[in-house]
Amino acid sequence: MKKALALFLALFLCCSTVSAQSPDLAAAKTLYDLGLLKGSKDEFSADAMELNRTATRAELSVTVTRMLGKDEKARYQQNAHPFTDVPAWASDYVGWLYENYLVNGNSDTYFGAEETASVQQFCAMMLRVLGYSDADGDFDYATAKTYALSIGLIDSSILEKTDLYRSDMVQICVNALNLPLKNANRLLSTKLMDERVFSSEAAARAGLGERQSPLAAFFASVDQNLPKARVSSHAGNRITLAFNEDLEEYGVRVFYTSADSPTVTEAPVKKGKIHYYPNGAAGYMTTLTVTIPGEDIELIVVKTSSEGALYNVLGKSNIVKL
Amino acid sequence: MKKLFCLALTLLLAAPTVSAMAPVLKYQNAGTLALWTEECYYNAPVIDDIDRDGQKEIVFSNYSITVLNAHDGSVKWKVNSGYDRNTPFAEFGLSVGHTWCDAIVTDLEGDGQKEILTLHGNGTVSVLTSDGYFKPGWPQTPLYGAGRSLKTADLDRDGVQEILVGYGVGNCDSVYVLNANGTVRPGWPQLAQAQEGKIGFSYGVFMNNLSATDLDGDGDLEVIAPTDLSFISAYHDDGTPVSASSSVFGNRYWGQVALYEDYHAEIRGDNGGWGQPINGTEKREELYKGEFGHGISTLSDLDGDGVNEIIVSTIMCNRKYAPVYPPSEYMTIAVLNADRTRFKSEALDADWTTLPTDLGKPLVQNKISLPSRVAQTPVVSDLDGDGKKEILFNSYNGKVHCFSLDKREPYAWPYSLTKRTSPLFEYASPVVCRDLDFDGKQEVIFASFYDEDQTLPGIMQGSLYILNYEGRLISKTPLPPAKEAQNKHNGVMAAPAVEDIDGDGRYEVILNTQNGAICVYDI
Repeated sequence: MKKALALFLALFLCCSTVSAQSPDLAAAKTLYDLGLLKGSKDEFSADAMELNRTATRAELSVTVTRMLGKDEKARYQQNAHPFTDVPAWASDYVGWLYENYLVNGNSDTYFGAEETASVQQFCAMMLRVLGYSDADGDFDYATAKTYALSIGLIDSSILEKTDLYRSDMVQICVNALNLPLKNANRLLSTKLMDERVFSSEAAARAGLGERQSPLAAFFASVDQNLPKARVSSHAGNRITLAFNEDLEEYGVRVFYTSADSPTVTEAPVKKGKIHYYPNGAAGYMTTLTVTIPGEDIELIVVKTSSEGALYNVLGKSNIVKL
Repeated sequence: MKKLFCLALTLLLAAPTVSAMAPVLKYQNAGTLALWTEECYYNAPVIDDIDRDGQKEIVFSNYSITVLNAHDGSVKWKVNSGYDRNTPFAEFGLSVGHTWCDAIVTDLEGDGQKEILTLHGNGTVSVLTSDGYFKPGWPQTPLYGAGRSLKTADLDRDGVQEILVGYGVGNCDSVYVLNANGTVRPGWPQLAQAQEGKIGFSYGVFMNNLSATDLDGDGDLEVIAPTDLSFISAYHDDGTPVSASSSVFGNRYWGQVALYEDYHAEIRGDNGGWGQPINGTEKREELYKGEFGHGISTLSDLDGDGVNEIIVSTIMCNRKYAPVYPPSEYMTIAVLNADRTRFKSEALDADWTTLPTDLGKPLVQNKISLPSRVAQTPVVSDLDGDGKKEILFNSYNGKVHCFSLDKREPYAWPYSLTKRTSPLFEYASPVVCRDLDFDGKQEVIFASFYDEDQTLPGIMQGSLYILNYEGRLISKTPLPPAKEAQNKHNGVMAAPAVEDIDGDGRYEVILNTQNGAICVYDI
């Protein structure tokens, strides 16, 4: 009984330690679990993460390389660089960044590896990780911090800082993982998952990049402007939808996913009763019926420009789940 | 037992080790003319015993078609393009143009006789006998336009091969199928003007893009035609279009599905695949589209189910710059199923519903040519002998990429020919994979060329590269300079041939160089 109590107490303390940890330490743990941060010891601990000190330019280089998903690549390729002050543990990373035009030294042969990294340097680097380019005019190096603020990469508490603390570094990294790539819907974390830098399970455990439903992703660029749809009846495979307003019947289609059919598929539609307004050519309906087999169905009603094979998607309803 | 030991020892001694894999020049400038050198573009040399005398020949086609004795490089015969040996060879003024794509040596009619097929700059297709005379019915010029793609395939499985021809033209009827007797097959060319849009969209074929495989499981082969802009068409042997997966693409044909970086946008196919008009608010998913004018298709059964997957290279362009390309964003590859969906295999841990992205911009945003003169050719090989295939391709970013089926670039890949400190931009030819040292792992062999707009004092010649399966350099051997002193450049834009041409049990590398004709190395 004593043993059980001790075990319970130990577990309780352990859990409460994690839950009570600072946001910085939680961010560090997220990165550690994803393999994007290693720390100075073999196991994760506040001591090992050394969040209360400033980061060096060498550490910044390692972190940026990992955030690009190139940790393993850098170690395999062992690219040369011209700098004489880079420690051995950072050399592959600086080499990879140098070869890919992502870093320069403070001089032709001096990198400044042990110098304190600045928030501005790190913001510029992380903007590049997200696909922004100062060379292409997306941002100016001089105003990298304010640009980073404008896209949510940093918050205002970091804006006024000059030196980069490791606590800020991990926060910025976690922010970056949850941001979309330049002018895209796709998140950095999704890209890294796709490139097998970490698994989707690890990302889910870290609470990153919540999986968007295939239907939502499929029609992400389409504005939602159709009447709201709801299920009015569901018998066997036949599902009848009702709309809260009139829906112009021409070009209406229904797409779905199900447990049996996880890819987005068009369902055959039987339109409900169509009515016309005086002097109007268009017909309207308030219901339609679709036949969709299987379980765990999600569906969406879309309005398209044609009833033929080629069409534009003009609008969409809400996603209906059964 | 003693005998077995001796045999093993002999093989071991004969096989070159990695450290000994330094190429040695065997001969150079083979097949050049007395007064000038014919430039070579993307046409790889073909090694074959075309006259069945037990000795191998090298066949290559530039402005003339040449057959060399492979063992010493001496000329067996040479004809001007568009002519045969009934017309005396002339160094000047007698040619129907250069050759863009590989010559083909094959037994066209299944009669035991090898033929030599070539395609030339004015659109002429030649079919020569193994001793250099036209087969009856040839040559033919079905279209006066730049001939860019030549393949053969027995589409209808009658034992006689058909000839697939692609033209770099500015309209939709760019793909022809000819019968072995020189007539154009009924139903071709495609797309017929009247069908444009109704069954697909098609424009020029600017590289050796065409291929043929059985897409619908009926035993006959279908023609796969990546063409300029974003569509890959597929046709039955009678020229009718092949349907894409109805459950994914609705009622669309292959040629009506534009390739987007984002698969959802591809499936949605807004505005017939062309995308909605640009208003400045679009996201990348709607903007990034593949370009297939230089989209070379390669076939391989990646998952071993008996059905070929289609691996096709593409240049990702940003629609916001359209219709004026370049700039372009990056070169990549797509892997497609026979029903035009993207390849995915849980057993192989392969998910190609997303593409490898952001592989690097071109070293030069060439104003004339989207691919910066690089023939981005996918090559499939099991490099490390683990039973899973890798996909390699050369890119306009100065690298050779190699992807495992899990879409990672393994080991030290990609290999960069152009380093940050390089004074010149250097590009790779298409690669060839061979187990040069017989250790069960493939080496990767390619040659290189420099950007012709860059000049430095001195001679600029590319190199012959051999990499190991991990993408690490084994050897880099500078090529001989151009034959003529006024040509500062020499390099190789076409794939090497790697064969044992002299029967010594070791491979040779045979290169069709830009400005020095055929050059051969012993490995």
